[in-house]
Amino acid sequence: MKHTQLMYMMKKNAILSLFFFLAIMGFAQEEKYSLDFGRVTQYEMVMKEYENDPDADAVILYNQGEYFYSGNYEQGGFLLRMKKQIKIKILKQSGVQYANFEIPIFNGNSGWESIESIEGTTYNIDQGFTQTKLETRNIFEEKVDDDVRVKKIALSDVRPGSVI
Amino acid sequence: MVQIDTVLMQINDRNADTEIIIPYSKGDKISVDIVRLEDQDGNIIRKLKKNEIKDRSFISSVSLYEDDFVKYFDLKHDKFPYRIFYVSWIHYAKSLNIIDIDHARSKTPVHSNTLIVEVPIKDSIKYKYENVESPKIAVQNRFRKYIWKYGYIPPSSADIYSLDKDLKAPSIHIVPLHFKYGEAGSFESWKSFGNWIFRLNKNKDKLPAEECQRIDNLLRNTHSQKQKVEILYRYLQDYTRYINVSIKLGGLQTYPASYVCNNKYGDCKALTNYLQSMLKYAGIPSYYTLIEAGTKISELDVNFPSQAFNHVILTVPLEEDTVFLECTDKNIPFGYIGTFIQGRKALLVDEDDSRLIPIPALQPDDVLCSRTIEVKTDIQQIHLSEVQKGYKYEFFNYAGKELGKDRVDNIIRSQIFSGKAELIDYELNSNNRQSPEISLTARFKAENIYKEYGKNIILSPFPMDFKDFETPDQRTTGVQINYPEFYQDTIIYEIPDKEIIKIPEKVFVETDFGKYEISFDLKNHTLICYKTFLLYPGKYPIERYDEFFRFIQTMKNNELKNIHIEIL
Repeated sequence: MKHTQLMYMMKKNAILSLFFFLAIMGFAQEEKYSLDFGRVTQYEMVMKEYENDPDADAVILYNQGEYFYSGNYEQGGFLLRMKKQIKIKILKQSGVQYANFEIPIFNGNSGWESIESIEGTTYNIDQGFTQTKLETRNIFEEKVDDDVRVKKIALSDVRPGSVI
Repeated sequence: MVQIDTVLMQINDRNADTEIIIPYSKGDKISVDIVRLEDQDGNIIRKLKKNEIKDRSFISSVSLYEDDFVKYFDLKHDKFPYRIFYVSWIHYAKSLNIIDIDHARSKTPVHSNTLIVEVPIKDSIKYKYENVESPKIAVQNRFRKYIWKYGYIPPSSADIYSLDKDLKAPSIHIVPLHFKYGEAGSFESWKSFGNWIFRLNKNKDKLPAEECQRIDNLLRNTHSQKQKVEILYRYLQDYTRYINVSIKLGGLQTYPASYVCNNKYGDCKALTNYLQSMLKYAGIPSYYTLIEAGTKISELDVNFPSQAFNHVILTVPLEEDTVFLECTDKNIPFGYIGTFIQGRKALLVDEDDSRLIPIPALQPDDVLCSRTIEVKTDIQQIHLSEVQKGYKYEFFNYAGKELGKDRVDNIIRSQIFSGKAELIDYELNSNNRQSPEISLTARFKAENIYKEYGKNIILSPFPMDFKDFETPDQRTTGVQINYPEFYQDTIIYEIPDKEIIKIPEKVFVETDFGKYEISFDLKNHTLICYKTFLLYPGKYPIERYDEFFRFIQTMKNNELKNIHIEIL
């Protein structure tokens, strides 16, 4: 996945964390961007461009990973688990490409990976507020070789203006 | 259908691509039985074990997913030449064409190839072949056996705008007369094949209730058929995108319209079927139309019905005119016929009356690219104003919409006046979906465009961007120009404070291939250079290549020549 036009807001915009705290303190109506999974703000839905880079065709509103260990009850030892959440605002036609993405999974002699679940939602406001969920039957798996497979996903109902 | 390949391949040097791939689809049974590496004399050096033959997906770059795979292996050796020998066996779960061999697009020389086709006597096949001797036909038990033999050495490099029939490349195409692929069908005629496509895609036109309501709202207050079609086409363009997921019969069978309603995406078949379904709901008949897309036109053999297509468009007959709609492009005007589909035959699919139809060809005015270049010698700047149509419009329109700004910047920097002038700024105006043209204005900084030697001034030319053709001694094929190319330049050189007394002569060349003109005019302190180049579409045999090349070179030489003027 190419990120040339995307701005990584989390790193650049210190004010954002302020909004975040405001949000959890209960000022949900005032927030510009939301970091809660499954939530979008009015501003995110209506924004036409990203103020720090008007040429950006999409903007990553957040991209957060969470790692934790859990016991492996079958084989002993521990499993490293990762939860990744990413929210993107599509601003221009050329930004729609970010709604198509791939997740590689490795499975070889030195270890293995598996995907427990993939969830995705597309939010639109141009025909009234709508949420379109990613359906499991629209997730495909490409076999790259014996060790690597790639989950291939194209989110539904994506166009300029969508938040995914 | 079972296909058995027995291949002996010689690898001559280390530059050769030695990976062997054997494509198959999900549901097919495949086995690669023998793979071995031999030296030049046939001595076995190494045998590949079964687990050394790998498997991977085989998905074309335009698709998100296809249920196609390859078995692959790569046998390398340090002594050249060496040989790879293998036997593979595929039992196809489904097949439409029996075999399509065409070496015109292959770069691998074939020392000798034997194709044996065995058909049960009760079944009939249709076949055609070119640059191959007629097959030997024999009847054995319950089979009819056809044997073709040929060899072929392709030219080392492909010619620009080549006329492929001059390659004399072997080709063999075989189809069954009757087949079952989802539905039963026949290659008896274009009509029977088209009608089969209709049956394969029947009952895929149901729209959800809310979609019908949306269409009602969109078409409220619109009475003209043409406007209705345009509104629904725009709706398609605005709300859907191209995503190809091809599984099972998906190469030829469309997804239902509801799939596009839910996902707001689809491939050419799904998007075309969706628009057709919307039009049907609005009471407007339209026709799913198979075509072989590509800027290079491969002429359809009207006498040999086959699955010779790679794309689908929608034909909508209207009172005023018939429109052809490309449903996978979000950015083109309503009814625009691009370089990818123009000037060829297509198969209109109808329930009982499928037929070949011509898609109109682009005319010179449809492809005119005109530039006005103001050369400001005093401030060493060039101001370019360009209106592009045809292929260049399609390219820049796509880039402006679908690629990010960084990539468009790079394209403009590398394609326009590259090495001659430095880009200051530009504006690409592609907002207009009403007319198939795109305008580009740009400013450049340029030194060395103006040189003064006493009473002589030398001005830099601004050549038109046109392909470099092979010299006649390196050319192996005739020329095929698929659509006209038409360029017009007006170059205004501002030369303040000088009295110009002599300007270059006009040059005009007209041939069967096209025409070229360059002329000069003087207005106050400006020299204006007018240029026109028009290349007609056409096919010219290799015997005329000398003449064609001379015409192109005359144009090129005049384009590259510095402009000499004299001052008082």
